[in-house]
Amino acid sequence: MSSFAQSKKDSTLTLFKTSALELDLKFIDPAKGSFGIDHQLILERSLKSINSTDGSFEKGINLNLNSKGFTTVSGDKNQNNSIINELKVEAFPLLFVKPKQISENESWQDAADDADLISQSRSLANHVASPFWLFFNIHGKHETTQDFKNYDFALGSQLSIATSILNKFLDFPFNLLRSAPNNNPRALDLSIGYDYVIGLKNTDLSSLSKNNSNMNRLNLKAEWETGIFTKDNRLVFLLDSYHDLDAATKLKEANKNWNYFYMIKLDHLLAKSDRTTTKVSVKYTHGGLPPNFDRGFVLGGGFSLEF
Amino acid sequence: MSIKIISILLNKNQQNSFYLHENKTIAMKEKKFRFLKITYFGASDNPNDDVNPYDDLDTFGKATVGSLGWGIDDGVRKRSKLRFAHNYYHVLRHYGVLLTIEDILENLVDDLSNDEVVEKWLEAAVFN
Repeated sequence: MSSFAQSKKDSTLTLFKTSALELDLKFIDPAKGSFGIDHQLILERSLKSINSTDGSFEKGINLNLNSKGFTTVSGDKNQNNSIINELKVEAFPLLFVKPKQISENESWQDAADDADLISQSRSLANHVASPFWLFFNIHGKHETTQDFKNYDFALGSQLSIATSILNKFLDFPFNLLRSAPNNNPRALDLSIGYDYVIGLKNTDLSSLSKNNSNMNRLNLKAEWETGIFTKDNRLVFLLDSYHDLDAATKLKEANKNWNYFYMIKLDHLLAKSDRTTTKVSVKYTHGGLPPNFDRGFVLGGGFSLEF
Repeated sequence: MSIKIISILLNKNQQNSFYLHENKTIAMKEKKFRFLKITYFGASDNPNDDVNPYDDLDTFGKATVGSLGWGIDDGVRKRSKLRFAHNYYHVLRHYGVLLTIEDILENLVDDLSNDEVVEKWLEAAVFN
């Protein structure tokens, strides 16, 4: 991640305070485009932030411009042919359940010499963690194929919840198969959104929809991660589903009133040396994404080296 | 002659106390760094919201912030970082260290190594 301006001072010329571009290159089946690039670009600016005087509390309203998608050398063979460019204003967070209080009662100097400091901070973090967070955004999206021939616009809002309450239930099977003690789940992240989609006439869905031009769409998203088998494996699940709330019969017959996209990713920490960390990842994606919701799957693999 | 000797001795004493003070300052800085790094490692390894895939401090320190398990979707990553910053703030307060949530988040940059982030936090933190 790089930053246009990391300083706290905002200048009138700085449009976005933070920025990030991530490119993930991968070789895939020649029948599906041979070579692909996953991209994610984020530009963000804080519009308003509310901080308490003791620094304990931060709420804000952010302006966020982002783009993400998958592009292949042969666009017509791309099985996840979707690029989504989004502009959103978000309440970050909207609210959260206040955590349990702990008193300021230990000296950091004594604690620094304590061999048990890692496990103490683990349990303290667990103790003060808020079990429920709520976030809200309003957004406009430009959803297009990689050749920009098919596209639509979606305007809507989204509520996101982050909670660790369901971890015990979700993690039950993985916990049974796990040998390492410190490879636990991350909090579940759930989002529900509504989009009013316009410009359907520019997509493959135009002939299947009721009025050929717009759609009332529900969007459900979920992401969760946990440790699996040994201390070196992490498994990530991501689901992104879209439902036409007022689907035409043709759309239902074409089985495109409920569309889903899911991803399963396994990260394995392969080797650690004094200088490098090597990680191997296997990623499987299946389903369809806006604007055309053409269904397909991609199995990709790769490794990363960190120096 | 004796005055000169006394003066040289005094200078030596001053030098020694300067080096002693310097060593103490370096030792204190190292202790603070180690404290922040260990608590960062522990707080990110929260059993109910674990974003730390590493099991030893050295590997963790060299690894980048981006390699931690914040999430795949950019919104999910941001929310995970906020939750961590919130928890870490309270953990540090318990030990009498003040590092604001804003400072924690601002330095939690994906391209930096965890050791580099701790260096930045060290500059911003107030140790009581």
